[in-house]
Amino acid sequence: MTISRRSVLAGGSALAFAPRANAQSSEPIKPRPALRIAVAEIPPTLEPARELSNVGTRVTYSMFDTLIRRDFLGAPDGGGAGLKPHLAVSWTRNGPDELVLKLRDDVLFHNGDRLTAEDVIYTFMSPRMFGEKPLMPDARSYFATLASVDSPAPLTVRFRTKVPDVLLEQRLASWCSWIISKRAYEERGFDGFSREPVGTGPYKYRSHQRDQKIVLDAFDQYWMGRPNAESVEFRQVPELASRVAALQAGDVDMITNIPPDQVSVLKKSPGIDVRNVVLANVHVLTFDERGPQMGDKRVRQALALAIDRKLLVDTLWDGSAVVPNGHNYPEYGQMFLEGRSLRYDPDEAGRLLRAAGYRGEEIVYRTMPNYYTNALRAAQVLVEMWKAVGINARLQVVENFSQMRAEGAQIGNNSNSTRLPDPIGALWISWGPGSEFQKSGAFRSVEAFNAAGRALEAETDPAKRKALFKAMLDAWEDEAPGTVLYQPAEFYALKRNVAWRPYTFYFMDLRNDNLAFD
Amino acid sequence: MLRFLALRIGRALLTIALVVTFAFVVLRLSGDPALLIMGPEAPPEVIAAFRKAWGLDDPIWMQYFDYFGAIAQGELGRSMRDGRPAVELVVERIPATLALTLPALLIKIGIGIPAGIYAALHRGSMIDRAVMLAAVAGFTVPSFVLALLLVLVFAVQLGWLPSGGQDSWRHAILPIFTLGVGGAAVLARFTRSAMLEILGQHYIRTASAKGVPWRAVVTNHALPNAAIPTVTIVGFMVGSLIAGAVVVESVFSWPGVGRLLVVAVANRDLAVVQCILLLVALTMVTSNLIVDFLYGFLDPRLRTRTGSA
Repeated sequence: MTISRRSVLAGGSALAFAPRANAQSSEPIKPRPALRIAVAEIPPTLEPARELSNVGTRVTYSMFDTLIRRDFLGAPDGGGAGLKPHLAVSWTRNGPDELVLKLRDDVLFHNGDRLTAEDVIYTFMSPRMFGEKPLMPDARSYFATLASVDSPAPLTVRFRTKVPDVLLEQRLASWCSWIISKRAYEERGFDGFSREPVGTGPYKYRSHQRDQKIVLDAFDQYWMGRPNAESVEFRQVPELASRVAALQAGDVDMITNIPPDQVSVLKKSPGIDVRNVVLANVHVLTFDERGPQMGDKRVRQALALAIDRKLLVDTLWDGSAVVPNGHNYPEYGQMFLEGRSLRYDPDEAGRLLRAAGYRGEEIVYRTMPNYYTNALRAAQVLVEMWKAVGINARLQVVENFSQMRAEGAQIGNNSNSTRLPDPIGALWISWGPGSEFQKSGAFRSVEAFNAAGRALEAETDPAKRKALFKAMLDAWEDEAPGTVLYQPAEFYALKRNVAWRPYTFYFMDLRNDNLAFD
Repeated sequence: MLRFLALRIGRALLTIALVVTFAFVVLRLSGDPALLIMGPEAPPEVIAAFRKAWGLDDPIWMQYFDYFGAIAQGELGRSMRDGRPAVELVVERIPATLALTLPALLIKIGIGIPAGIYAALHRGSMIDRAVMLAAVAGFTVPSFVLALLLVLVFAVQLGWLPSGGQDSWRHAILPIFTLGVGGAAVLARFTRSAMLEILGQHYIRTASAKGVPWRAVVTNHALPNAAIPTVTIVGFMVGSLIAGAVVVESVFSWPGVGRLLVVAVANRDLAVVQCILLLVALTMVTSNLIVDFLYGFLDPRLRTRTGSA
């Protein structure tokens, strides 16, 4: 038998937990229900930094923990942006490019190993998502500023960034910062770990049948306490009607991906609740500057001014979506720009079109029918709104983004997520120099926008940052490479006895402070 | 006979090559797998890395020849979604699909053919009308609608059966029934038409006039001659055993080949799609080949014609 430092640590932690286990065994163990969730799709793997879509994070969010926890529940809308200790008990800034975190000493991985600084270092610095050719380049892009992670003392980790990064704490509470077990990763390799991952979260892997179901078991040694559900099953039910029937038949406890027009039907079903949340995401229209008629910014501005967004929200979303204050959201906290709005001014739109010399040439709006909820219906209304101000718009339904972005693109659909509660984590990521829009040339009048954005990236003073954000947003709205439509709502239907709240991200938090059974 | 066999096999191989080529061209030209799998918000460098990793940045003709070269060596590629071999993914789904389609085929044959024969032999009777009414209903109601109807009645209202999934034999009842009903209706209609046509032939009248018992007329003269169109339809049904349950598998969340195909096409997961199409083409071609041989067995004139051609 080989005695390693890890096995000693694991044994030590087992001893440390022994009294608690005994204490628990003296009390009657309360039976726990299994939670069954029907989803439209399940991810092909469970490597948390590999599955970054709504489909993947929904499952992995309760299998892994972050060092810092974003307090989504701290706001009534499920979009709180405050930070709380999680795997790290505390953190200290040593300047704009250095952050030191102290780790908890009582955290176990699902394989029984105890969390160490080495696991944290491996999570961020191994070829998994670091270096010239990371295994997951998408994950790398979330930590592009990261220079190094080391451990100056036991249970202490130090993050250094290449440039000042005021958002590092937020990054460590968000995408791709889920801590993994170094030993499990090295033993299983990239593909093996992707199939059977090991984290520290409240639920651990039991089985995964591709395109069928993923089953997780409660991890009773979870450092936040014994989970409230015995197990969680994510069952793939691609058809909406089948998901609804499964919930009504009592085969599942919760269903996801419900379109707004089904909400009233579900609300009438006995014992079923519908809960919704406005997502940290906006549906946007993209105006390709290279397209015919689209080179004049006055035409693009007119397209944006002709949209009655409130009407869209009221009619298509039954008021459950939100028209934001531009590409500018309250969750930015002190960076939020008060007093801004998305103007609806058809008269001004008409004036701009005349000034631009637009004479009714056809402008094609490409959209996919189902990728974004309500996209096709919104598109049909938009075409009429544009016609009302004299724009000869034609709707072209396409199958995918390749076809949407193909040559001749004029107007298209997209969505922008607010990855981090700051303009750098939203507008800048979506439209900045690294974005598809700038790299492809669809957004090329970028001087003022990029100048403000680059200055904002490097700035740490809050007042100056806010002023730079204003300059960046002004430039974006003036050049109008796109326009915001609305923040969509996401609907979940569940049995009334399940106490659970959705977040503004697709993360499905099943920790005890957000999941209980009446 | 050897020439007949060689012609049929040659035609089968050509069909398979055309199917694979068509699928390759359509899927490659109609969408970028990198964009579909990584999502529209993925940074351009990530999309580029994905394309490079999977050889999607090579010219399409090079990808085509690479693909055919790989097939010749028995390598059908890997899924772009999780890196697993496409063959492995497809093969592990076949039992689930067959668990639905084989019993459904038995239902189709077991109900459809006798019902069609019975209706033809009792033409114009109440039973004939009832059988045909049921057949038209089964034929015209889309399987999607029938499936949901069955779920609403037996899962939601009565609670007798599960609404979907694959956890036990009870989960298979509704999808098998859905598949079986539609196919039985088709077979009943075809069998009835074929029987009615044969029963109107001179040789049937002659046999009856010569005093051959009606049961023998039907068994020895009508049924073998009416079998040809029925065998053709059954052949199609056998050919679609592998991927003929796409809609039903989707509604009942049954993890078969059909579901895999839908997901793979949506993601332009080319290796998986091509592997399934190859399998479907093989099954269909094999089934047609068997049907061709059965024609010769059922009707000796076809053998003679082929031989003299």
